[in-house]
Amino acid sequence: MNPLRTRGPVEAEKHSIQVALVGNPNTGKSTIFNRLTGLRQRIANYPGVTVDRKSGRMKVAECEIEVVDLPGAYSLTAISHDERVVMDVLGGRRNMQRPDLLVFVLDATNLKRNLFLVSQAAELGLPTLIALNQMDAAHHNGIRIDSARLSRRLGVPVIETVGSSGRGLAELKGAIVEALESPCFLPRIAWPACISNGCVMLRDGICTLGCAEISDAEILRVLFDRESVYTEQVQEKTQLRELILEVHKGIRSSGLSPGSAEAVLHYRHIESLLEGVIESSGPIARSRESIDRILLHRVWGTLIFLGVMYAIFQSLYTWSGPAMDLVETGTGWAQSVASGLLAGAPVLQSLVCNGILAGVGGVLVFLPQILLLFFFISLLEDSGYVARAAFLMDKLFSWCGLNGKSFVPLLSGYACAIPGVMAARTIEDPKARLTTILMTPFMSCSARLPVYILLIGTFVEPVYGPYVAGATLFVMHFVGAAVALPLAWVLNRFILRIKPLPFILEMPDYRLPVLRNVVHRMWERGREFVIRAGTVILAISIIVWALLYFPHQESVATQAEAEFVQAQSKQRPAVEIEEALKDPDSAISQSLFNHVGAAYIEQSFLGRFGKTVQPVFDPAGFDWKITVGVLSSFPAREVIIATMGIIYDLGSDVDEGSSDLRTVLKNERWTSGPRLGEPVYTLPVVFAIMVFFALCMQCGATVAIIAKELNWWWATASFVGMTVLAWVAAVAVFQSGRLITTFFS
Amino acid sequence: MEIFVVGLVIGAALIYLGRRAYKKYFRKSGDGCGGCGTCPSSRASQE
Repeated sequence: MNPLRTRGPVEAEKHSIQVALVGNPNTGKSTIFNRLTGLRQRIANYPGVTVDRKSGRMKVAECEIEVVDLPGAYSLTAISHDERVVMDVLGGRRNMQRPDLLVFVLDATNLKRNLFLVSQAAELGLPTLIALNQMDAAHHNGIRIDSARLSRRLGVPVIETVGSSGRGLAELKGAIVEALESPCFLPRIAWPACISNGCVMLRDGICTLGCAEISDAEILRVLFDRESVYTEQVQEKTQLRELILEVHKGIRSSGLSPGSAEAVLHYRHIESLLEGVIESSGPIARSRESIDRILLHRVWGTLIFLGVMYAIFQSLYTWSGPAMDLVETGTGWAQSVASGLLAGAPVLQSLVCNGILAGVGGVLVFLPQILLLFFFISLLEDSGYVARAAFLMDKLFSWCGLNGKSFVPLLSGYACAIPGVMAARTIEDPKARLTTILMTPFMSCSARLPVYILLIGTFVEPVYGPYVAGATLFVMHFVGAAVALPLAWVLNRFILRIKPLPFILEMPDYRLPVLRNVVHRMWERGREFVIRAGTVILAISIIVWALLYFPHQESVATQAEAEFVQAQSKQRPAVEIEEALKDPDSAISQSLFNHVGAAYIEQSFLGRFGKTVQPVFDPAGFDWKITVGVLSSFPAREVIIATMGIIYDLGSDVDEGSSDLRTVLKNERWTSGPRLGEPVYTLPVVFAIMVFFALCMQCGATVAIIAKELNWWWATASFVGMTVLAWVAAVAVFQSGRLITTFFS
Repeated sequence: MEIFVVGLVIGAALIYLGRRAYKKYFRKSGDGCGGCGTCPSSRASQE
């Protein structure tokens, strides 16, 4: 069959030519996918980065080919969610199109183990091509591979590639077209009679039971897998179970174990294939072992891990100052220009200056930190350190029922909870996966960073210096984890009762981070942050501004002016006040302006709402403005910065451009109630806000992805649970902080 | 005129947020996550 020739245009529209990239985890499939399609799929140097089927288009010699990047799999035994995706595509299940060509991306440094999947996949009977990737690393490790001989033995083309540099990719593209025109198939393993007869028995049995048609590869899965997508289907059929046991008896009587027969026979086959193909000169990766001895050490490894994390958060804090100042100055300049241009239209002027520029500009200030954070994350991911950190964390996680496999999703959660929740697909145990998904939103995602930086920079750094501020930022990033782990223990101990599974993780080779990848990841996240600021945050800023501006009744200003003059008249003579009010630049005029601004916000729709809800947050020390900020940030955390910018900018002098949010926060005082005249933002309040943001589920996208990965019940439970927990923690922090400060003062 | 422009901007913001919420919570997308276009994986699935 030649898919390039047999399909007419109409058929091609319905059924495009599809090439699937298959292989073990972390062999460079996504790197090759990106090179072939020109797309920018996420890549990193640890297993389990791709968890779903991704597709892109490649144009070669006038024909368009759909390239599908599949999650990594060590074998065809599909247990975890990502492995099932592979089997669904390869088997053409769940309405998936069966690929026209399989391109196996093999790690040349670990060929024998990589060939196990190839040997198993021969049973699928699909045209095949092999990309022998990471050839540079193989040469570096002293491994010589005779790819021509391997190609002759396998009966399919073998192309040497280096995905990271693009070497061999042109040859691979040519070979793909050639393989589609004249397909080559892998030789099937010669099964002993006990197994081949058993397969025939099983096929007959399945037909008798009236089950759907089943392929040779699927029959082998039913026969050998203890737990997989196929065994689940036959569990209910008692007759079929008995038949499987009968075939197993036959295998045992031939001197083989049903549990290991498949692996033993495949590896025998692979050894015969590799005879004279691989030459290895000397011990491999001695330096890697000595580095691992330190990085995976129980004490030194953990200390290095904590040191690395601390250094990252310190530098995030100290290095980004000048760039932040630049953005702040730019926003202030834009506000003053817009203010001058729109002087004749006060409502529009307020919308642009206090709504759009104060909201969006306030969030954009944090772009330098976001870029720096992702620079460090990319360095760790590309170097291979993430897998080592996962190994170290296995000990930390095992007591609460999670294992090291949970680490990668949880670490991804530090960047964004959405890929973190999706990365939990690599966890085989459904209950462990559930716990990991529920714990991932507790990890301090990059959207929390602006909140921490704003509050720490305003209230901690000026008093305690940059080192304590950096340390506070470091600690705040672990508050979520410190709460999530005991919570996971409670969930496992009393509700889910997960049995601990052995943790197996492949350690990738250490690699020097590729600058292109690091810059791309920074660019990707920076672009995402700016897009968010220019779309969601912009739209929410406009709505928040409108709710804080309207109804804007003039009677409010008249009443506020009368109140102000009355209050001032107690301090100074009426003539002096009258004179001062004639000069718009006088201190009294400025105070009156701010007083009227504040009265307008208090009487606005959102102001009235905030005042109504404020009693709920009063035990945490939040005033109505913080309450409004918290409530408006439920769709996305960063919105609080925009809301604060709008609230405080509306209450200040518009013509003077943006007031520095930090200065305004410091000067903010209670205007009513028992704390009248006291500063709103005391240290207990600041920490209560940060703890609330650390623990609350303020991200609509995360709720949606949890619903998609689990269901709406768990998504709702997670939202309600995290919100209640955040409130309780914020109240506890504020009340205990207040007690401590009272005790020491 | 001024109020009309402001109203238009507020209306556009409301429509944008409404459409986005609908796409994120109710519309089924292909592979990947909800396809909200926020994270790299959802953008890749859209591409």
